[in-house]
Amino acid sequence: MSIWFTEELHPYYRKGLRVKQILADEQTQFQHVQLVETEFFGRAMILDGIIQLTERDNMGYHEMIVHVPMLAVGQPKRVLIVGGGDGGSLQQVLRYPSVEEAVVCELDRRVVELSREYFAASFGDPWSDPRAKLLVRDAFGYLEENPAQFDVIISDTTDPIGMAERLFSDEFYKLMVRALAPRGAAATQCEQPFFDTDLIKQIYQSAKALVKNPAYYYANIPTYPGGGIGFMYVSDTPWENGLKTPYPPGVNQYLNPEIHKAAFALPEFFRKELYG
Amino acid sequence: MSQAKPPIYWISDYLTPDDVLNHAVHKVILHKHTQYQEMWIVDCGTYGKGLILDGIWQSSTGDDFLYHEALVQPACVHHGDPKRGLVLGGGEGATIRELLKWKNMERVVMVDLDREVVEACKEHLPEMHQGAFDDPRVELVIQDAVAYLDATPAEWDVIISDLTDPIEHGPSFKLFTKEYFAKAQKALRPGGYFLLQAGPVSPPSMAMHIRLVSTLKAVFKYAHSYHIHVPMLGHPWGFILASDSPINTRPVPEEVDKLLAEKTNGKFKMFDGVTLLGLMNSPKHIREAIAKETTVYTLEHPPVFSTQELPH
Repeated sequence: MSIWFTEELHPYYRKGLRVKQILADEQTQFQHVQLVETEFFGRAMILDGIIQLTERDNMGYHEMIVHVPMLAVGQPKRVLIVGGGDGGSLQQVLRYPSVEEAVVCELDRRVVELSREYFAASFGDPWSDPRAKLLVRDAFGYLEENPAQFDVIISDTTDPIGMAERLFSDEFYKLMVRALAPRGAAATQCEQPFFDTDLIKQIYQSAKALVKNPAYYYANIPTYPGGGIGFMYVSDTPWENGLKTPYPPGVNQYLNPEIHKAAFALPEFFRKELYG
Repeated sequence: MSQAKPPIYWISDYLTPDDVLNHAVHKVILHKHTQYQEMWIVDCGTYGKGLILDGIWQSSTGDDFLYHEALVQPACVHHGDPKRGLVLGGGEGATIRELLKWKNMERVVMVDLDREVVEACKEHLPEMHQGAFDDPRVELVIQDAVAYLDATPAEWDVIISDLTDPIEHGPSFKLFTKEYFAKAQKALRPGGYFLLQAGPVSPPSMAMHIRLVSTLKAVFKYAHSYHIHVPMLGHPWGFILASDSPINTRPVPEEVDKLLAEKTNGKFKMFDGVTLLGLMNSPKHIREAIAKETTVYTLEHPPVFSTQELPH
């Protein structure tokens, strides 16, 4: 006998991870949380049936969503993470000595608590850093209250289903850009070129109306649908500025200068769709 | 599918290295490592709740009546008026439930090694035991089946050996041997019947079952193989009825029905005279395999392989 977690985000595509052990399984106020020990990818967190991260391949996601906007800004002081309750993005943000405050706006306190318990080996405990500030609340209101406040905003969210759907709307992008300080930059979790072409186009159009230099980039993450995930870079500051910035202290496992450039190179079918 | 939401896990039961039965898990009701084995109780959707021990699907509430009525009732009918029933294993409590259907049953003892499994089944699988653990005729003994058989006097009309499969590192490993069966034989009263849960009888997986028939034949005067299709087990599931009293493979349905009407509470879902007549008559390939088999499992040479090994 073997146990498989099978993800069915799309009705036409499935992926499965062999499960060694179930560590936690609970219905929080907001969602169904599963924490499992998998055969190859180490521990994995699954929210409402969708894999959010695994120990083995989360570094590509977290390094790319965080460092691309952080390096473009150069010396970010105030950072907002929308979602990100697992602490992986926070850990990367706190590598920058320039950061004075990192606010995490996470709706589900249990995601933070369970991640602290089960992902300490991957992320340490970034929450104990005095610069880290956890707000258990919806990000919309917080963005509204804080115009022009953040040098970097990371939108590290679940997929556009249910309560997270609004985080992929034009309204959200407007609020997010409004909350950026001058020359600030944002990066958002922005789905998969093959499966979500229309959504990504729509988000790119929103971003283009708001900032001078939006761009889409991509990272390989085997446990996400299609083997990877993309991000929308949203800023007046070109992402290329980041190529000149030295990396923060600590070790990169995914990002290097070649990957940084290559991540923005898009396959021709998708480049045409997005940039015309 | 009965549920709109996709399952949270799939449990893949490898019937052979090439054939997989996938059971959906909609909810993990319980998962624990007991002193002896790993156990799961899960919400499996269409078939209700399932019990899994050491990676092997034991039973589900949606089809357990097929298994447990077939496991218990043929031995009871052959006896005719069982008053004392002994169950070895049978954690779910469904086996004692079946014995208690006989009106003259005075005493039922269930011997199970694993208290944690029994307690969990009591709490989470009421559909299976249906309150049987609370019946005043029932005594639960947490003990090794062999130790119990060594100590018990010859006082049983029916002994049901409902143990988990003899996987190499599992707790039931040595309870499928000639020595064990001889102890069961000694514990029977005259006219008593022994029934063994005896593994799958699908063509590629029936070797152990066939050898268990020859092992029981080396101990008892009579041993007879039968099986039933339990959908969630994937394989047709084999049982062996053994006794020093005769086994009637051509029971007259009307006579059986009359006996059941007289001696039982009649609460059967699948079992009656016609069913028994059908059950007692296996297809040719199984009868032929039994006729040819000479292996006898002993403590020195016990069955050593799992019937449901994972492919590597």
